[in-house]
Amino acid sequence: MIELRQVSKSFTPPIKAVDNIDLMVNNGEIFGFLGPNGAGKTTTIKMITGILAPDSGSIKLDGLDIVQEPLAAKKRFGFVSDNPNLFLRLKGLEYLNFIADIYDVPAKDRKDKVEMLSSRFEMTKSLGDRIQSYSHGMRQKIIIMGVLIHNPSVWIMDEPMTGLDPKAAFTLKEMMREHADKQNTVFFSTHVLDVAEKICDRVAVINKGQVLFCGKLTELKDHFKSQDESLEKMFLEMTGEDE
Amino acid sequence: MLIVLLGLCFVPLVINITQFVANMYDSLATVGETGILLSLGITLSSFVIFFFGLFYCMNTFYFSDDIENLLPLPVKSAQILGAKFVVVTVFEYLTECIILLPLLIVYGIKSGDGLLYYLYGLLIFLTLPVIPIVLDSVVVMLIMRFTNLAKNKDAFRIISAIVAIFFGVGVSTFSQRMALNQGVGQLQLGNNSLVAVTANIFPASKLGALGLINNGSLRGLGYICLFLVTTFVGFYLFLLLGNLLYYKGVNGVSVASSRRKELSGEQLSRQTMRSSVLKSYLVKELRILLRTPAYFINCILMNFLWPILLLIPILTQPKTMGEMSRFTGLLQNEKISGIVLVVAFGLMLFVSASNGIAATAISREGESISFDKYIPVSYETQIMAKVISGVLLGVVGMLAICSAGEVLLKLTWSLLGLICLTSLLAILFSNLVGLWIDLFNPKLHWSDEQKAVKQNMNLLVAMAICVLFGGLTAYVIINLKLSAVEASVALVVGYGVLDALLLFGLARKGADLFSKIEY
Repeated sequence: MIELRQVSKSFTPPIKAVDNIDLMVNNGEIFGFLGPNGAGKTTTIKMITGILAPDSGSIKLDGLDIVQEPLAAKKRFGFVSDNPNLFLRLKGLEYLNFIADIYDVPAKDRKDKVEMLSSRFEMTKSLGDRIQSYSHGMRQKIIIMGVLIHNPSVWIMDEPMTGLDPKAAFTLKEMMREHADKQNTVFFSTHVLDVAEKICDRVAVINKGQVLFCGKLTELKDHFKSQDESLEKMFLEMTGEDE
Repeated sequence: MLIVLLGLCFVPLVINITQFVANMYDSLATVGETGILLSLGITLSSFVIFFFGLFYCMNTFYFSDDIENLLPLPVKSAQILGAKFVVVTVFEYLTECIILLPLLIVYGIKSGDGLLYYLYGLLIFLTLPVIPIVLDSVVVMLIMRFTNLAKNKDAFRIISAIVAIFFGVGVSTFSQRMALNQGVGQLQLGNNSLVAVTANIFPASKLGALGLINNGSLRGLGYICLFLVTTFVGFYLFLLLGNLLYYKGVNGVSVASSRRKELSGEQLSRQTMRSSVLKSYLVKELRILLRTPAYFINCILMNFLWPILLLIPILTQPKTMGEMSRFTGLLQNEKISGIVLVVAFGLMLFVSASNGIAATAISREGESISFDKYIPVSYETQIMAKVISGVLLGVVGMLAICSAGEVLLKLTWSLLGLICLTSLLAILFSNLVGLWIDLFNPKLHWSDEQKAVKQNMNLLVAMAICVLFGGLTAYVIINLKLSAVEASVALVVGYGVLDALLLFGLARKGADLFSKIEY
C-alpha cells in the first residue's frame, strides 16, 4: 500500500514540481501513473522512494512513513528507476548478490531465485558478464531482477517497459499481475497508454504537478461522457496538449 | 593531479638530457664524430615515439568515445584515420619536446651551424613522428582486426597506464645513468646496440640525421628531400592500408568483454554467498575503484607512484647512493628519530589525501547517488564503508612507502613500527577529512568518470587541509625536539582525539548531510 497526503515539492519556488497531491494505492492493484514529460511523475516517485524529501505532506509505504522510519519503509519496496545505467563495472551476478545482501535475502533462497529469474528473463548466459557489456534492455532486466530477488510487497517502477523486448515486457506484465493478485502493490509510471489500458486496475493522471484524475479507466471514460473516445484522446484533452 | 606530477617529473629529465648531450658533444668533438650524436638522438626519438605511439594510436583510433558518432557519418575510413593521425602526431610533438628538442638545440649551439640547420631541424621535428606512427598504426590495426583485444577497452586502458608509467620511469633512469657516465665508451655503438637495431627499424630517421649533419651541402638537401618523400609515401601507404583494415577492426570495439557463458551450479553457489551489508557495500566500492580506469589510475595507481618516484632518483645515481649511506647513518641517531617519524607521518598524510578516494567518494557516485538514497542501508553504514575503502587502500600505499623507505633508509624495526602505527592515524584522518568535505558539496554532475576525480575541487581542498595539518604537526614536534617514542605518543594522542572527533561528528552529522544531497 502506498499513501500520499498533501505532498508538495518545489525546486525553484514558487513553482511547484509537485503540488499538494493525494494518492492512495491499495494492496492487490496495479496502479498506473500517467502524465506528459515534466509533469512531476519522476519527482513524485523520487519522493515515494526517499530519494527526495517532500517539502510538506506525508508518504507512507505499508503504513510506514518514508521520512520518519526510512529504513523500515525502504525495506518494503523495490524500485526500478528510469536510468538502468547503474553499477556498470559490476557483473550481473555480483549486482544481484549485492542487492540480496542489502535486502537480507536468506542465503538458501538466493541460488534458486537467481536461477528462476535469469531463466524467466533469458539472462542465464549473461550473469557472469559485466553490466557494461549489456544492451539497454538487458540492463533494465538486471535491475528488475534485482527488485524481484528480494520480493518486496511494493513494486515501484519508473518507465519499466522502456527498452525491453516484447518477450521480457510480456514476462514483466505477467509478473506484475501475479504480484498484485497476491495482495501486493504495483505502482508504475508510463508514457505508453496502451500498456496502462491493458494492465492497470487504476490510474492517476498528473500534469504540472497536480493530479487531474485518479480512478478506474472506466470512470475516466465516464468522466468524458463518450465511451468511444480513446484513452489517448482523453489524455491529450486532459493534459491540454492537443491544442 | 597526475598530469602536474608527471609534468614535474619531466623537468629533471630534460635537464639530464641536455647535460648528457652537451657532454657527449664535447667528447665526440675530440674525435670529430659529432654526427653520431644526431643519428643517435633521432633514432632514439623515433623509438620512443614508436613506443608511446602504440598506446596513443590504440586509444585515439579505436577506444576514443567519438568513434561511435563518427562511424555512421558518410566519410571514408581514411578520412577519420587521417584526422586521428594528426591528433597522435601532435601528442608526439610533446614527446619530442622532451627528447629531441634539447638535442637539436644543444647541437645547434655547440656546432654553430647556420639558419639552414635550424630549418632542417624544424622540418625533421615536424615530420619525424610520421613513420613511427605509421608503423604503430599498422601494428595496432592488425591487432585490432585479427585479435580479441578490441573487446576490452577498460582492461587495455588500465594496463597501458601502468606500462606507460614504468616506461617513463625507465627512460628517466636510463637518461640519468647516461648523464652520469658522461662518456661515449659506455654507449657501445656496436652492431648489436639498441641504436643499431632501432636504426634498422626506422631507416628513414638515418636520412634525416644525414641531412642535418650535411646541412651546408647539396647532399644534405638531397637527404632531407629523400627523408620527406619517404615520410609522405609512408603516410600514403598508411591511408591505403587504413581503408582496408580500419573499419572491420573498429566495428568490434566494445567497452567491456562479454563471454555469454552460463555459470555452473557450483559457480552460482559460490557467488551467491551471503555477507554483511557493510562488507558487501565495501566490496562494491573496491570493485568499482579497481575496475574503472579513471579511478584506478587516479586513486589506486597514485598510491604506488609515490614510492617509485622516491626510489628512482636515489637508486639510479651512485653518487646519491654514497650520500645516502652517510645520511642513513645519521638517521640511526636516536636524537633525530623523532624528526624522521614526524616527516614520515606528514608524508603519509599527504599521500593518503592525494589519492582522493575519500574526498571524491560521494562525487564518484554521480547519478547513482539515487541508489544510495533508496536502499534500506543507513547513511552511517554507507559512509563507514566509504571511509574503510579509503583507509584500506591508504594502508596498502603506506606499506609500499614503508618498504621503499626501509630499503633506502635502513630504519630500525622499532622506528618503522612506530611510523606504521602513527601513519594509520594519519590515513584515517585524511580519509575522514576527505569524506567530510565531499559530503558538504559533492560534485555529482559529471559526464565521464575522469571528471569526478580529476576536476574535483574537493580533492584539492582535502589535500590543502592535510598538508596544513601535516606541516603544523611537523613544525611543533620538530621544535619540541621530541624523541621517536615521545613523538609517537604525542601523535597518537593528538590525532587519536582529532580522528575520534571527526568520526563522532561524521556519525552524528554525516547522515544528515548525506540525506540532504540531491541529484
